[in-house]
Amino acid sequence: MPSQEVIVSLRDVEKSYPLGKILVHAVRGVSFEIHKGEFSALAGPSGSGTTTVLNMIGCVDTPTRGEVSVAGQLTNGLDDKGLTKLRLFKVGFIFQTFNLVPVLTAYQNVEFPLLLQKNVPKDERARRVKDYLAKVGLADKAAHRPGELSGGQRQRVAIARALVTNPAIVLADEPTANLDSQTGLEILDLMKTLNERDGTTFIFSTHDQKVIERAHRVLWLEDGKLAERKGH
Amino acid sequence: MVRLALALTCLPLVATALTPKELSALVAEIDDRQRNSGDWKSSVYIEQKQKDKEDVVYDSVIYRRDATDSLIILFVGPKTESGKGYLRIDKNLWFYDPGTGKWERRTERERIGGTDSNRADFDESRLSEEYDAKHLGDETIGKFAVHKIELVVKTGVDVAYPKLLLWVDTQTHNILKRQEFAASGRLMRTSYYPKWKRAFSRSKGAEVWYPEEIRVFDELEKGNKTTVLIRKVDFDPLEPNIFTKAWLESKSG
Amino acid sequence: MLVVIAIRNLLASRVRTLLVGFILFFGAFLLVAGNSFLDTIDRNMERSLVNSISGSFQITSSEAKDKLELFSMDSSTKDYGKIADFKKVRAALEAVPNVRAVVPMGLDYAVVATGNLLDRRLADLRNTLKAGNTARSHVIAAHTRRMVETLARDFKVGEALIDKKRMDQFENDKKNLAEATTESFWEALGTDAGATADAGGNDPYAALEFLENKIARLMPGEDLVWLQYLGTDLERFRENFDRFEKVDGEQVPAGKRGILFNKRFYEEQLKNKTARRLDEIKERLDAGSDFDGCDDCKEFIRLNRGQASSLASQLDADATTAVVKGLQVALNTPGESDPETLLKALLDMDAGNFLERYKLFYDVVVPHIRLYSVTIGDTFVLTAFGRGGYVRNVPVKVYGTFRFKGLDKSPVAGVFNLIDLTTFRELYGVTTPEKLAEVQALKAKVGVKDVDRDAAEDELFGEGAAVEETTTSQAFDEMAAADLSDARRRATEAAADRVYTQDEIDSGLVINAAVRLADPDKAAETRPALEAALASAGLAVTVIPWREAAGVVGIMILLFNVVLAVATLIFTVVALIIVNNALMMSTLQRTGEIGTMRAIGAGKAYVFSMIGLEAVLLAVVFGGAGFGAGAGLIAALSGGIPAASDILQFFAGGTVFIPVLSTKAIVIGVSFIVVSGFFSTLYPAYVATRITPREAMARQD
Repeated sequence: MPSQEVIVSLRDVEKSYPLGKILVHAVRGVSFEIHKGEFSALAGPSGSGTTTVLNMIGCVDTPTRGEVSVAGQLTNGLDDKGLTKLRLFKVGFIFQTFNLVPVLTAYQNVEFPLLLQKNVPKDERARRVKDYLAKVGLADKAAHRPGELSGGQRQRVAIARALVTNPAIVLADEPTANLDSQTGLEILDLMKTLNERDGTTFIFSTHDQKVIERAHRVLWLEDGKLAERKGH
Repeated sequence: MVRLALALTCLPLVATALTPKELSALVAEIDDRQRNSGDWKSSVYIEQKQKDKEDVVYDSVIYRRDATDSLIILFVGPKTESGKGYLRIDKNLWFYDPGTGKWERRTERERIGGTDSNRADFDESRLSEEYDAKHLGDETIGKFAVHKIELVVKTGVDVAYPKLLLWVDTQTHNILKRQEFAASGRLMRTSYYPKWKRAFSRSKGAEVWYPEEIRVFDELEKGNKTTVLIRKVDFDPLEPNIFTKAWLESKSG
Repeated sequence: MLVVIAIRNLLASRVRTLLVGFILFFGAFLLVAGNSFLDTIDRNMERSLVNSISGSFQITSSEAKDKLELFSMDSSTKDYGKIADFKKVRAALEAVPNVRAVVPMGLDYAVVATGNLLDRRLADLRNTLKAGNTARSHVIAAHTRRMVETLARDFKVGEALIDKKRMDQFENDKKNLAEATTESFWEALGTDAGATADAGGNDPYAALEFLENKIARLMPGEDLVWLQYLGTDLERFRENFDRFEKVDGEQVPAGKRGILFNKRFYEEQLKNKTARRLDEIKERLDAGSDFDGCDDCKEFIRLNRGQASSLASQLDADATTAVVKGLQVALNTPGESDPETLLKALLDMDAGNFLERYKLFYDVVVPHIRLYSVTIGDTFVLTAFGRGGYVRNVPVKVYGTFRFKGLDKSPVAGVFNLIDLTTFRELYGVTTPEKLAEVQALKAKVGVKDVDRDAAEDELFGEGAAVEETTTSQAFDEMAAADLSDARRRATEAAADRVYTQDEIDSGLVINAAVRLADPDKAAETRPALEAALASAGLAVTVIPWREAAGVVGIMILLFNVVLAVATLIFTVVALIIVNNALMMSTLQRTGEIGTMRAIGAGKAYVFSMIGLEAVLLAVVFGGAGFGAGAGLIAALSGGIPAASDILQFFAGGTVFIPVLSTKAIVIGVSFIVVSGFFSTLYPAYVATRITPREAMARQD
């Protein structure tokens, strides 16, 4: 169950960017809060700004106006280095296209963020990697490269990678889009399980009904603005 | 004798067109006038001007015996050149340097003492013997009317220049100007004879002509020129054995 | 992890890795090996020249009109000025530290007229008659007779070819030859030297002159030989130029006058042509050519065959017997006793018998002929056309031959002979003030008016010109003005063969000089000191670095260096571009991957390093391997490559070329690796850092 602690907060967030000579207003004033432990979804037709909002939550981008706060840290004034650091320690990413490093093994892929963090000792790293690989059910595939794994297995590795740093939030951008429905369900259930067991906050960007069904909350976006909530 | 008579009769006959017979007579006359039947000795001064170099001068003596085609050019001055000389006999040209005591064979094209003068300038004129003549017409040089004659060497004869052009005074039959060409047709020298002398020779029984002054201009190295002055001549007989290597060697002790 | 990623990425795209790797490998290899080769050549050439004749610096008068060129073939028209007093210059320069020696020099050329064979024999005969050496003159006379008989025989052969117009002359010559082959003629010649014409007896001198004037000119003559020489202090030259090496004969004794022939000049210009041609064939065979495939060889054999009679005529009675006997045995023709036939057979060589007959020729024939037109130990006359205008004839003795190690076969390096400084000065013909005064006086006495070429005709034949005058013959004493003391002095001095002191050798004219340094590598630093020393001594002398003085050769060396530098540059740039492109492509292909890493938390520095590391690995591994291969090749060739031809020997500084790994090559090799390996990665790596995490998010498959 989601706790009371606010883990992500958006206040009057606007985002515009130039497209040639035109200024595109992707997000026109969005405010909401996400609490720790939530399993929530951002949904909306394409062009509605869901990707943009997710980028801002993921500290990949900063708002033109308004405030975005992740794990208590305001992103507005941060430079690239600051954002990168924030992402490294506080955010986990799961991509639609899995995005594993093809030349590294599953083990190495999962270990990667820990190496980036630099202050995690070797034993600790090993323990955590093995732990999460086990949690996603791929303990026996540790030495395999992504090329040797199925789509579902790759996504599992990605999940393990996303979680291995104990991030404040995990962002998943259409994680099931490239999986068949069966595998997609399995992945979703895995994530749901991890969410309920460990209390990890998951924020999805999705069109998938199965995700929406499992979400605590769905934030609908239309034309860069929040539409009415739809719970279940 | 007959030739001399012929030459004398030809003198007043100066027509602008020369018949072949007149032409060969003219050339023969030129040869004959310069010939002495006896010996000949002359004191000759040679001065060579060269581009970018100091002048070269020689005080020399020429000994000739036309009857036997013999010639000696002996340098008397300056001191460093004294005793050096050339000996020509039987178509051989020898050079001697008392400093080395050696004789060297030289060719017809030898530059006498390194100047623009050749052996032929000091020697008998043998034009009718060595060349075939052709009359090219008449011109003027300065105030003198001249016949222009082309001479081409006869086959098998070794001369310095295979082709000559002569400008011969129509009145006096003296050569005033002479041009010499190499086998390739290239003009090598132009010589002027502004002063002729004639002196009576007892042995010949007639006069001998010689050029008192020869001005040679080098046409290859423009700016180089040689002046030859024949100052004194003596037609008295010379020692009989003068034209030998031994004689020339003895001169320098 | 970075390393792991880098390595695995390289392995993952094998083709690209190998392509780039190959370029780096090949480039490094080529530059290391190539530069080493060329540096070695450069250094060899430098050493060859500096240690053979040029020294580290050359000095000439500052008034020289032309730039000094030591190896120019065209020294005849050049004006290198004069240094009037070498002693002062030597003193000034040898006081400068690092100067080991200053060696005086002068380049010039002269002519050697060796005359034809008969001329020489007759000259010998004349000398022996003069000296009263009866026995010897009999021997020479006998030999001469044989030569004349051969000549007469050859002459008859030519009769059929004579042009009718030359018949008169020909008949005359034939008559003379006939007379010269009669018994009575040779009796006259064989008379004791004491007899003269006056004594009424037979006159050998008359017969001699007959031969010299009527017969000798019928012999085919020998060409004039042009001889280029370097006048120098022979003793000090030998001490200071270690490439100088005596080959035949002996050194010119200290302080004496003499000439040392350049061995190559001696062989090519002064050697009997038949022998020379055989040598040339042998050289070609030794160099690996095949006799049958060699057109030159066939031509040489053909020319040689025609020389049989000429060779035969060189043999006197004893020689003929020896040669005939030797050849009869060797050619297995015991019945043949005509030397000419035997020689002709010998000279008719082919691929099968060449080597054997070559040896035969040298063993049997050469000892009896005049192998060189000037023999070591002879004195001959050099004729120089002095700068002062007058022709100079100076006798000089041949002591031996020499060569410059490593330069002997190079056509590049010029072929000059070495002559003592005193003889050089005499040949050079500086006009002394006395002579100048004498000449001026003579001119003044005669007073010839100078006439300009263009105005000649008007001036000489214009108005007032009187062309013909009468005069009389007059006796005069032509020898009154003659002063033959100079000629006698020269003759006695040449004969005296005295020793000249070092002071005499140093005091006087030189044209240029070589400056030898104790440490040649410090040449650049020494130069200002040299110039200062000359300036403070008030000497108008210019210092020229050896490269500039080397003329054609120096330019060639410079050209080499330039070409090499350009090639290196081009190669590096090309490599840089190719590697850069390959890395760029790789980066752009991995946009998603890189974006993901950034998203996950990799910083710009990390990404930069990741791309950069790949390039660095390529550079180090492949470039390093290329470097190693290049160095390995150099090491493998440390035994040397034999230098077969002339040019190669010049580059090799000897008969064997030993390449050395030069510092310059190492530096260039490393620079290449750094530039094309490291620098080429800068831009792609930078581009990688510009990839934002958004790229990862934007992927839609």
